[in-house]
Amino acid sequence: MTVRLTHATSLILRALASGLRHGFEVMEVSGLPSGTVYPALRRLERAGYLTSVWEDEARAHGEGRPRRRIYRLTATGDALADRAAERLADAGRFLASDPGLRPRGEGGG
Amino acid sequence: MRVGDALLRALLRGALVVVPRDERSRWGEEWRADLRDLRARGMTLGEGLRWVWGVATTAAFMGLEEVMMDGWTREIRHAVRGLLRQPGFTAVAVITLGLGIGANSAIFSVVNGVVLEPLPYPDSDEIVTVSTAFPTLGFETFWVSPPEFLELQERTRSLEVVGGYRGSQTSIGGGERPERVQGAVATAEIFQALGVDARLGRTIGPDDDVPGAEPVAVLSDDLWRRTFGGDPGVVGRGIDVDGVRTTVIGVMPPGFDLNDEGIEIWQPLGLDRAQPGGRGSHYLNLVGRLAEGVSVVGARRELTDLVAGWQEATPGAGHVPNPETHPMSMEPLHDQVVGPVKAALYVLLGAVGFVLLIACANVANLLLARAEARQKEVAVRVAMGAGRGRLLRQFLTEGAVLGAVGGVVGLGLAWVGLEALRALGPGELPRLQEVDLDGTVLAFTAGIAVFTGILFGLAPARYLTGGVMAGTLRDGGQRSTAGGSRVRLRSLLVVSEVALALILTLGSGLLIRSFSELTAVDPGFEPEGLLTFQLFLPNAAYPEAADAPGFHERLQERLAALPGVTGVASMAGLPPQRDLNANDTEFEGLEQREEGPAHNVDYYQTVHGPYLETMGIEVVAGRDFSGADRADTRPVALVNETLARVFYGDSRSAMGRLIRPCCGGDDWFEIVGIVEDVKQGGLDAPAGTELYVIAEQTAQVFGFAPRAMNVVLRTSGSPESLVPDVRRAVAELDPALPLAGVRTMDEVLAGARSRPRFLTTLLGVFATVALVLAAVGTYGVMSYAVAQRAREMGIRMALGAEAGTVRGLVLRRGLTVAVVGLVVGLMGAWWLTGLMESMLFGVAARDPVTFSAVPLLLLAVAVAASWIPAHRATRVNPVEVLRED
Repeated sequence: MTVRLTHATSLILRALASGLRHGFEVMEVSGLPSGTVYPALRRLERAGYLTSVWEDEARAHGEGRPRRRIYRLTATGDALADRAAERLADAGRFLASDPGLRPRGEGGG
Repeated sequence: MRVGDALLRALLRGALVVVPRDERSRWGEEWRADLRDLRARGMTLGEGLRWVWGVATTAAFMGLEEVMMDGWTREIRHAVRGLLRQPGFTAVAVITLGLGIGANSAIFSVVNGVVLEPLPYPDSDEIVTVSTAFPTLGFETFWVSPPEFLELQERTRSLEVVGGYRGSQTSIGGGERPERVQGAVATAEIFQALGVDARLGRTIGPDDDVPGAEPVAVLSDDLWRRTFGGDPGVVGRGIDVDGVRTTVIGVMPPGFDLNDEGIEIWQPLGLDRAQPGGRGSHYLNLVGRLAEGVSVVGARRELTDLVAGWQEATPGAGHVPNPETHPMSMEPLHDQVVGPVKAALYVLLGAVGFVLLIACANVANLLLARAEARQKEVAVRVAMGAGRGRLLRQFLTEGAVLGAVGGVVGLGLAWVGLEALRALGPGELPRLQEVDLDGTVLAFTAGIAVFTGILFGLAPARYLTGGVMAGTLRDGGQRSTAGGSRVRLRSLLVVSEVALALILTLGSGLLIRSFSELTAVDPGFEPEGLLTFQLFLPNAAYPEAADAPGFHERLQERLAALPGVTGVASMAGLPPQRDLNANDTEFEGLEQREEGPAHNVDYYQTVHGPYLETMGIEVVAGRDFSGADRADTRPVALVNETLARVFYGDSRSAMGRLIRPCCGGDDWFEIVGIVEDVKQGGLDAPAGTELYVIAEQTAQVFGFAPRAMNVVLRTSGSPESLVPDVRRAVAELDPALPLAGVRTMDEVLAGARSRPRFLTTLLGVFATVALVLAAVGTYGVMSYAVAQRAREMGIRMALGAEAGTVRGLVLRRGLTVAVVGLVVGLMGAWWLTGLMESMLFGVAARDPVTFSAVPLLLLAVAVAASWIPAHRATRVNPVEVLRED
């Protein structure tokens, strides 16, 4: 199963690469809606770019809250996150430049 | 905050339902944790709702994905395999469904094409007809006279245009053989009102429609192809119409007609607007188109006002429209065309709807039986963790596959049925050539198929509820004696089947009774062995009034000489379905009194030759016409018993009285005989008043004899075999004369009964199907009940119960179900057959004979359907049944 490296997917990959671990954190940081983040997480996991586990039940219990799902990038996920970083950087450069002088950028991916 | 959290959690739980089972708990837990964290970080309720919405769509996609990935194709393959494993069950289900769906599609096609579709004119809902009435004379719908037409044309503001026409039989020469066709003479406005242009050439214009204009004609597409080989060069050419050289100016597009009259040639009416003729001469049908922005209601209001002020607007004129004795009315053309058959078609649609419901009940029963047989398998699968959703989907798929296959079979049956309908009822239904299996019908059929599929799919789903399931596992499946609730559900289905079948059979029974009454009606003459045909003598070849009687005299001599012919005569009007004449007539010595009968006679019958003798009409008093009554002898008349009774009190008092028929002559006719009533206005209507005169004398007195006469021959052998000789005899006298409507009188009578026969046949077919399906359903449920209680029966037999007792047990059960169904059905029928009142003749809508015979018939069917299972119950081997545990 392949995953299309869309802008949203790139953002999610970068968020996870920067050490965030939960769905709700990704949502908060990226500003992406739940309807985008959860399907993307599921696709990335099914395609083998992510693994996820439950956090330690005892710890969650200790803090008096339900346990959370922890997402972690796999090795292929790390590589994909690097490509996502390039893509985001391209996009950033494109947005920063004068749109009148450049041909439309490839966008990578 | 609390309330918000509870709401969001509840919504989240709802969304989780659609998440595939194996992922549900994981995502549920994760989302709950996320929701909690987000709320803890200050997420507002609005944001929370958006978040839940996102989660819900995610969940929906997950569910859908699973279904798409491994769901339907496998499910459908599975369902098809399962159905093929039980070919008997599948065949019965598919045929049952096919019958229901096919009958519905066919009848819906007819209803759609005839009633629902607009007429084939542009903006056809703007087209209306205008007619008059003479309520005091008992004529509810009457024609319009030319002066009334012209005045209406001038005064109306609601109608953009209004034209008049009347049908006429027309002879066309110039083709291979002279032909007699249905024609119409019409004013130019008719074509404007209908908004249809010629496909070739032009339609009738104002310049054609004046007295003394060049004779012109417009042909129908069909006539053009049939007689002129579809030659475009015919436009501008002269053809022979009723012996007059007439120029063809146009050809209408295919299917163009008016009021379903089958008009094939249109000629200008040529009304002289300065001298339009008598106010009392009503013969025009008016067709108009509503002016821009005017509704039928508005136009009717204007017409009412016009009628109220007509006398004032027409000073000095007598006999003008007025609200009391001569009102005018307006109705959409669509209603006029479709009105007579609408009720019958809706009855048929209701009937096939019942057939479909019965078919559905039967198939649901079959599926229930199947589901029960697999109950244990299902229970085990659920216990092993198969999702209820999966099983539900499996049931739904099976139902849908059955529905789809049934739909395809039904479509085939509908097509065959529609062809049969077209063959059966060309004269019975208007617009039948417009009927087709079109997109609307296909959508209708597909809708029924899907609906029934889902319905059956859901039927076995009730076995998925926990309680039933646990019970099933506990009591070891189908040998249970505790299947009571299941039998109840299925009995309920049979009750409704029996009730519906009873209603249908009752309706059909009423129609059959009414049809046999209609067949038993005495037309007033002896139809057996009579052959009849129509001849029209054109003005051009027979200019003098006396030419027509002279021709008929010569013809009758020739025909009477043919071997096998025992009598020949001619008559102007062919019973039993004539248009009303309603001619004003003077009765010497009778005052026209306010409350008395209007001096008006329903039917004039002009005859030539030994008419009464040939037709077999009895003389009640006085004498028949004789050879001594000639053109130059004293004018004489015969009247029927109804006329004698209405005007003179009885037959004896009518003898010798003087009567003056309308239109032109000064001579009085002496009534020399009274004859028995002959049905003229339809077999189902009273005979009406009738006056007989002889053609030679009308030619002499009025300078007029009917040009269109029906010749009738009494034969000793088979009437059909005489046709070639008759044609030859006519051709020897005048080779240009076409014979029209060559039929035996039995065929003429059958034609007069064809619409009721059409309805009776169809409803009979549907009732039979319903009866068979209900019998199958009863049999199925009783068999099932016996199988359920096999063990109990076995024990009873082992303990020494008589076979008769056991059989009685089962029969009683079957009868109970049937009787409940019959009671329900009778209640429904009591109400529903009232709607058929207008279609019945000589039998009441709640006819006690039908209402007692038909339930007995159904009871007998129920007994027969229960008998086999009852018999089987007595054959249960106790040892085998008990050993199975």
